[in-house]
Amino acid sequence: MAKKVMVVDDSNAIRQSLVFTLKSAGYDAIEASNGAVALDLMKKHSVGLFISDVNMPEMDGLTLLKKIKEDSSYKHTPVIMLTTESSGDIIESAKKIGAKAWMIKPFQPDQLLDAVKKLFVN
Amino acid sequence: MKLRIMKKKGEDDTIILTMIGELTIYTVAKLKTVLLNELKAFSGIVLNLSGIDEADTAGFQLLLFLRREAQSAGKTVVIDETSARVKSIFSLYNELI
Amino acid sequence: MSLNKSEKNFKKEYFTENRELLDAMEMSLLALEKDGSDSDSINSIFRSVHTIKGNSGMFGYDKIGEFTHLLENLLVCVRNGKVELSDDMTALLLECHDFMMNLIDYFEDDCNTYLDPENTKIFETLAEKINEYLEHPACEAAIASSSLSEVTSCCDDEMTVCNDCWHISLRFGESVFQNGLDPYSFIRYLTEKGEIQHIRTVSDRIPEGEYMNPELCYLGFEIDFRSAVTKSDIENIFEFVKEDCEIRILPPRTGISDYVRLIETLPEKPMRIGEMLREIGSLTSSELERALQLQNIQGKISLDETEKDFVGKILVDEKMIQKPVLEAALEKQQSVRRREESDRRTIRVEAEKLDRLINLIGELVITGSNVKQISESEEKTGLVKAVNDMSKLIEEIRGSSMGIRMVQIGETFSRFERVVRDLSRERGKKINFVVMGGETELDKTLIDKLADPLIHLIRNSVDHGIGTPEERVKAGKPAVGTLTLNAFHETGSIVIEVKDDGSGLNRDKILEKAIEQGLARADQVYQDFEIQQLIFQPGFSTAAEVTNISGRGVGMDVVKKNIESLRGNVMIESEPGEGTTMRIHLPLTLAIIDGFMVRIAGSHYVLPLDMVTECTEVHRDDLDLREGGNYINLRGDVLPFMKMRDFFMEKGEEPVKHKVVVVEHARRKVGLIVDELVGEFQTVIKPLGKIFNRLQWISGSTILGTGEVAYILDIPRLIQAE
Repeated sequence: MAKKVMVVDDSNAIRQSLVFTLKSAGYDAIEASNGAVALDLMKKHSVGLFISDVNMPEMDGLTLLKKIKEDSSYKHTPVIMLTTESSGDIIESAKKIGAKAWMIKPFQPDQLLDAVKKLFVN
Repeated sequence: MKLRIMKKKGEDDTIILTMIGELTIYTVAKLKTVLLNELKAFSGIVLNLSGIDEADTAGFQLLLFLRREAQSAGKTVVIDETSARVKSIFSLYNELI
Repeated sequence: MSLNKSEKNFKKEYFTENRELLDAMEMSLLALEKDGSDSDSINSIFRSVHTIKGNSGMFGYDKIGEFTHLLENLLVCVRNGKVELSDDMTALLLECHDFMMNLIDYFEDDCNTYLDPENTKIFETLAEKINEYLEHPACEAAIASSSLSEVTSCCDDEMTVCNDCWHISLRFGESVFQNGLDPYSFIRYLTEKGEIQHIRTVSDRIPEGEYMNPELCYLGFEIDFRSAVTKSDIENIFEFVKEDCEIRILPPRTGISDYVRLIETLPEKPMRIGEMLREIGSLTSSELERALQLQNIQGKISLDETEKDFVGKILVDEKMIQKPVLEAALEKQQSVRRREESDRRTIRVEAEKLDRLINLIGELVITGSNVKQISESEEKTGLVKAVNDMSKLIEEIRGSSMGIRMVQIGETFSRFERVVRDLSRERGKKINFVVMGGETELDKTLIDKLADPLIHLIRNSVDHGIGTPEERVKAGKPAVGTLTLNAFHETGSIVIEVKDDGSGLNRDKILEKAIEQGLARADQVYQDFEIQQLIFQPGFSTAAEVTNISGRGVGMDVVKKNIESLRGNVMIESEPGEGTTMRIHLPLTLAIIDGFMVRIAGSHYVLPLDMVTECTEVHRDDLDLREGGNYINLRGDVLPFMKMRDFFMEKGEEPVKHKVVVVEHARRKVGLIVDELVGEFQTVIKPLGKIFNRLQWISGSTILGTGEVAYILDIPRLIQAE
């Protein structure tokens, strides 16, 4: 079975291109437009990895990250955070909550795939 | 050894060099000495590269260099046979073999 | 090879999304301006800008990224309360919004990621204004202000190169091989992102004989690369080798001066480089010649004799510079057109509507197979039911697919808020803009085509309807005027009203102008509505006072024509001192109507069902005996009628009993006398060909089950004619 990645970003364009990248690399991918939708979806699917934007309406990425880490079935699931800034604060707090990796936009699809691959291997 | 070179005398005072192995950054230093010596000793070099299964831009550069050296000495370098790998480099760089 | 289809779709999505984000930003800004600072609006603006910034980086639109970065800094200051959100700043933010909207259009049209001089200038001006705020000590402390050095270097007016490829100049550092990097892999990767049109290995730097160290890299490459990628995409390809390689990237169709600079900075001799550029097709001979000349003029390089010869020779060789330039211009025009067309092709659909349609189709499939099964058996009663079910489903599917075309007009309405704001400021007026019936659904095509006429009517009201605060107070009205945009359904039409509480139409002034323009005669007495119609006369709006309305050279006659081309009409209601209402009546949709079919002599005609209010009968004698004209008594009301037989000049025996179809449009009723009422009928309107354009009572045709053609009557026109 293909490994399932959940992409959380409020931008359709970004989300679709990430999903496309992931699917072309052989992963199964589902998408959510914000944290709240993601929480809902992750109960219905078995997600192997999360990729989430930070700045989103409804529920931001850090809150989502917290909720994922609180969920007993997802406690150990890796999360990659996407940020626009090399803003130390956000990365620090994401790290503290338990994000496994973060990528600073803009990045190349290949860079993302590298990260995804590494996290799945671990 | 990453590169083996077999020498055989050819017609018209040429030397046929058949190379097997790598034509890469790891072998170019030694190969350069060999090639320059042969170029001095003969009036032409024929290269058989069909046994080159690994090649890179350093190898490509060395062949360009050899060709230029030969030209300025009024001698010839001919690549007789080649491998897919060598071909793909030459064709990407749009250089004739 | 260029971007594959899905990548293109993502770009399209990127543009659509940015437009939406900008729309949201504008609405929040207007709300801020109206209701004062609130953190929700500021946050929402911030989020829009932030998302645009993130997206632009991902899709390689660095200029938008750069600009939004600045804007984001400013918004951070506002959000943290370091800088106060003044009216001036809101105005600046709106200006920035407009600029970004323009940038989105610009980049979508142009397929490159560079700014033209004009936009660069606006960019710089706005950046300067933003930086003024950012230089505020409180702000500076919070944010390191961005450098704009990159922006300032842009070509001014000069000839651009025709070649539509990227030009990539690579000079690898000596240590590349030793660092374990192979130029081959990077250039190879390029071919996955596009097409290498030409590549030229630059081996000039390889030393001779003993001096050549084969473990050092002496190579360079000149590459002509055709691809729809962005500059940062290309830069990213060489990301890992950037310490070990001098990379110079020129965009497609860049200025010749960029090539001059390239030639100057590359280590090889200018003529040698020039020749290579020509060889791989980056520059045409004449472009090269011009480049070398430019260089010569600048006195930086002196050509020796052989080189001068060469320049002379290519001058003779090449005469064809004009054609590519022309082609480039044409291509650009086409791409603008393409975008407009593609705008029309996409409709954003509420997921719910689509789900419903999909459900219905699912049911139809089931019913369909049911029908098949039953028809194979003998049981006829079941068949009838199954067929009935299926027809009903098809009906519903038609309905819901039509629904997909329907969008709420509110979004379009709220866009006018900005128009009203800007214009009222400009004119020194105070106007409260009210939107009503925003949830009214209208065919998407109609909405798109309505925007221009509506803007015109709104500008008209702001300009002429509503007076300045002083004038209004003098007239005993509140200083702030009200402009209302209202949409609602009415007997099969959509009605859109633009209503102001201004001084109303100035009868005398209009008449005076019309006489001046030769559109009316001084010796004639005009009814109020006739005077109002004068406004719609071609030529009227070019008169002085009443015409500043548009400021765009479009008159009310064009508004009227535009609306009529949508099978609608426009009316004016005006009370002196009370205000003016411009009322647009439009058909619900353009494509399919529920029709009511009648027969007149030997032909069938279809009337839009929603304009039919009732049907009745009247005896032939009752019509003939009427005195004083064409009126019948409908339950005590006087109803004008039209004998369609006479109207279409049909001969032959009339039926004894006439059937009357009462139709209503724009609040006027008329009875149409026909031979036979056939019944309700659903139909797809086929527009008549151009040769039938002159059949002005017919708005289209449809094919009946029998193969016979039925004409669709243009009721609004008929009513007007009556």
